[in-house]
Amino acid sequence: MTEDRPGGPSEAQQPDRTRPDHPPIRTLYARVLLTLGEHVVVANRRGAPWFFLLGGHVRPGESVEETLHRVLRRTAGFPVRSLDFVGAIENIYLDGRSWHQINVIFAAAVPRYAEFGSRIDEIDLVSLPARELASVEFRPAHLHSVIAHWLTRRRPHWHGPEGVAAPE
Amino acid sequence: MPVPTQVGLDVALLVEFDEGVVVEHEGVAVPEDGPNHDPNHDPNLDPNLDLLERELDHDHRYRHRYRFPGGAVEPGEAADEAAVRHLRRLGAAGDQIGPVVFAGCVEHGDRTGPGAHFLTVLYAVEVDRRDPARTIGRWEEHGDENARLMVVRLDEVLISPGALGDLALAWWIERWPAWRGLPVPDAEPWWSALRQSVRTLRAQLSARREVLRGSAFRDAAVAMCALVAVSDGTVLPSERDAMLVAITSEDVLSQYSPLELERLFDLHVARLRTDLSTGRRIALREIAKVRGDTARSWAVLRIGAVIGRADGEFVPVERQVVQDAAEVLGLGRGALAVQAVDQ
Repeated sequence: MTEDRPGGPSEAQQPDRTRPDHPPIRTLYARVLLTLGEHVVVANRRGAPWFFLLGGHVRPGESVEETLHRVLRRTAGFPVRSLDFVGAIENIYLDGRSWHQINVIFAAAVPRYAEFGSRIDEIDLVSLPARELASVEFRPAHLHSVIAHWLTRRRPHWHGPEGVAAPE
Repeated sequence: MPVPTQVGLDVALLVEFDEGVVVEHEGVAVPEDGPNHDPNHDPNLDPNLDLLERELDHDHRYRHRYRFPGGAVEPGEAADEAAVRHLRRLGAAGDQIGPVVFAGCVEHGDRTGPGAHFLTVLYAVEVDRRDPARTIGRWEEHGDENARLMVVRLDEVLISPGALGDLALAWWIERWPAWRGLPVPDAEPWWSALRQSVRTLRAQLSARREVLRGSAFRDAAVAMCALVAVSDGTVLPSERDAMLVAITSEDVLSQYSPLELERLFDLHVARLRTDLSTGRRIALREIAKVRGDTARSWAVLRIGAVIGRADGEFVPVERQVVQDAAEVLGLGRGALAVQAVDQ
């Protein structure tokens, strides 16, 4: 089982959070939004139609940045030039039982000359134009608006499971 | 199958009045000759004690602890929902006059200890600023009966945990959500060299545009740019021209006359070319005009970092002048990660 869990099949399988009998189990991930000029680099599991941010779950005894360090080192061929705090996305979904996924997100710039690829079997890295994000299916579903929000404002935000940022 | 996290999640509230922020105060008096006093134990040397707990007065062993209101995020609850719930528990919801704003996130504790590794999400909220003492009293009366509340200035007390206090102070100054994480042990060099992107630096500057006004800021910012431009004592005409374009096109400097910016810049460049040492001293004196104004001070450093990276590289000698400026501004060496110079 790969640790890179994008989270929940679809919005239709979002659990009813008003039900108290099955509180979601919390999971924590560190993810990276890779930017390459006006493109973003996202991950795709082969055979799946949706995309997600490269990342990994924070293992016992590991910190968020250690996870991020491990994830970036795992990706071949390019030196990351900068690192910015993007914020977080919460995602609650059903997969046998309900899960509450917290994704702490950072943005890293990839040099234009870089050649990159995933060393992880079944996971491909794909470069997408930022202007086409809305036409792509993401997991979690509101990830495209989170990315667009970051690319526009560059201001960190905590995005709740409903896809709405904590108001400002 | 996903793996449940062992990291606790909670929220902390930065409830702001004009005079300061609301904290929960806990004080425990330990008499010198009391039953719990160990004469061989010096709290100031105890590495297991939070720094705050070492604050003692001299008449008693009296430990002060200041914490932000807040608490755990319940299973299935979103972080912002938890913030609102804790605000209600505090008794403050009725006095809230602004939205609950994300102010940052801090990772703290012992990553290897079960139940000791935490992620705290900080939310800032403005409340009715009239008569804070009366407001606090009402909250203590109608809210959590165990809370002892007081309003303090962030730069006058130590908040527990310390990393959360640092984050709150950064928000108080910058009004920009930040991340404070546990360091990576044995980090590889490329990780240690990572810095914020220029775009983020510019966004941070623009966000504070309204407070970055006045001739003192303008003079300090231009002096910073000149120091970076002539950091090695030389600047070619083409480099000078490119630097001026970079300066006048910066959003926070676009509110000043381009001709005035050019005149001030050229004055500094001429001095630095003639006598590098004297020129630096004069430029640093201009930078010192904003010392004590933390928002402007940080902005000057950021401008230096942005200008230094305008040609794609932020070389050590450029980073060194930004560090020198940080010292003049009282922000300390390494205050801004972008300019840290390996010793």
